[in-house]
Amino acid sequence: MMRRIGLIAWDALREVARHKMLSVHLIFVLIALGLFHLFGHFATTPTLEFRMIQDVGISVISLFGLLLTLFIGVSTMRDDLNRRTAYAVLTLPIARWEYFLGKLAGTLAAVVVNVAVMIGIFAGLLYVKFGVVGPSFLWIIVFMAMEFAIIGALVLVFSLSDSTVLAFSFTLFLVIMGNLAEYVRHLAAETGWPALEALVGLAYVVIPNFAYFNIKARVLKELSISPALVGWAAGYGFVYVLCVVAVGIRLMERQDL
Amino acid sequence: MNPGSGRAPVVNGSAIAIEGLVKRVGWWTPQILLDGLDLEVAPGRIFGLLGPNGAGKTTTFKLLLGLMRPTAGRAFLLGREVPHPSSREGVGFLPEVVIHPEHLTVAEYLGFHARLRGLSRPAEKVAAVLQRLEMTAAPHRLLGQCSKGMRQRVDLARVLLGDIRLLFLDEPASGLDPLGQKMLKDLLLQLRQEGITILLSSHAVGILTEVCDEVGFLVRGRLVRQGRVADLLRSGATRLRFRVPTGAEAAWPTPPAGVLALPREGQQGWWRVLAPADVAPTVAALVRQGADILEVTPETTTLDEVFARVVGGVSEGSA
Repeated sequence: MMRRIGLIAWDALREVARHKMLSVHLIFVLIALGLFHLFGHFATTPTLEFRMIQDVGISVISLFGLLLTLFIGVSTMRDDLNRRTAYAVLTLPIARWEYFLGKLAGTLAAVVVNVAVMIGIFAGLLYVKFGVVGPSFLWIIVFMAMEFAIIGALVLVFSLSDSTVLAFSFTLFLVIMGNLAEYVRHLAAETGWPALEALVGLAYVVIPNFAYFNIKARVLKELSISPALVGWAAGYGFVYVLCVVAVGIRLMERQDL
Repeated sequence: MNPGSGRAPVVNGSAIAIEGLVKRVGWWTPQILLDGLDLEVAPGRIFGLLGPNGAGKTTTFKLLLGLMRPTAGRAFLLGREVPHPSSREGVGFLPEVVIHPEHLTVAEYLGFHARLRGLSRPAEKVAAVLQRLEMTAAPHRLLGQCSKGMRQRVDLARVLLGDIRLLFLDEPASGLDPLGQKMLKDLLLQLRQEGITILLSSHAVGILTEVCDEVGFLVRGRLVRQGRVADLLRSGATRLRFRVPTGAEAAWPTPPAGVLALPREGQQGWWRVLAPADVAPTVAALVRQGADILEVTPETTTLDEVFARVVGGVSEGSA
């Protein structure tokens, strides 16, 4: 079982590696070099320049990671099903949930590898220019991986619909909502309407709360990442992904391919 | 191994057993893709599923292979109930349209499938199957760069990697040139010799007559006729061709009661009799008339004609 899931994941990762990775990294290197050059002109002190580059750099990595997760997740399974290359696998004695988990693992592995490479490039450039890299910097990989695990699971489930555009749009909508979840709940509480409060409360449970994974401010301020923070984020991420995967598997089991 | 001996542990003696399989799709405008299909295929036999486009052949395959969920009915492959994954153990499938992941080489693709099947020493298995299909020069070629014919052989290699006992072929002769068709025919006969049960579908008769032990005619989701190929062809021997000498056309013989005269061409004429058993009495009646006949030949019906008659009959019946 685990071997089959691993093989499907490895195949998905290999496909991404051969088709899409290199161009993304080249674009990122160009953007990173541009950032370093640009902020050298704006910043008044090296410390400010360091912070500005880190801030924008992490945002760019996060954006690239998000787009990669969406593009890889939306295509890895949908393309296989549309082109019917999945038939060769699904007509073997392999359960659909194994296929789904394999694709999810492959998508996440591809995203994590990409993000790690981008962060590696970025950290390398920082070190070359400033001779220092923040101690919390590597935690970004961990927290981004958790965030992208949720997004990957969501996009994979939505990709079970026939429309790629729909899958992309729904996931993006949830990502935006998930980043605003805390604000929306706060605003709903302010209105004083119990019905609206209850509705938003329900949405708050269903929509992923990405606030758990946002550690950029802590990294920039060079604050420590506590075990409790990591534990909460990991626990929330794990349970959320588990729920999404359960829904996805249920949908896939019932689907006519 | 003798045909029909089979290597599979088969429940109730059937490699494929289907009971009242129904598939309906659509909410607003429901459509019946398969309407209570019953079918049994004995181990080691080649069964051809014939039907026009949209008859339900591919749906049958998808239901049996777990790619679709049935609305009603049950099916068993090698004794295991569909769609449980274990029902696909020892089962191979060749789809009509072969699309491969283009980023893999032939060897990588086959190696991936060998590992998915849990085969020990996958590289050796891949090399052996490539040798069997005379593709030893291909392993490092990217699938995206392979010709259509080579892709079909790669897919065949994928199926033959495993220790299969049941093979599904959806429109296997589609797009094959005569040489490819001959190779396919030889391979199917060889696989039958190895005791592998084969279910193949086609909307064109093509090689089915030569390789199938039995065929079934699927029309609008229903199996309207089924039988051994030889029996179907015998049952269709309904035409009698005769030839008269030049100048004798004026004394053209009259068909006896129950025999239909078909349009004649020059010195040749055809009569349609109702059943093969009527051929001899009709020839006798022809002789009794004292007509000047050069030769009389009963014409064997082809599977194409049986197919056209069955499909036409169903269409007329439902019109």
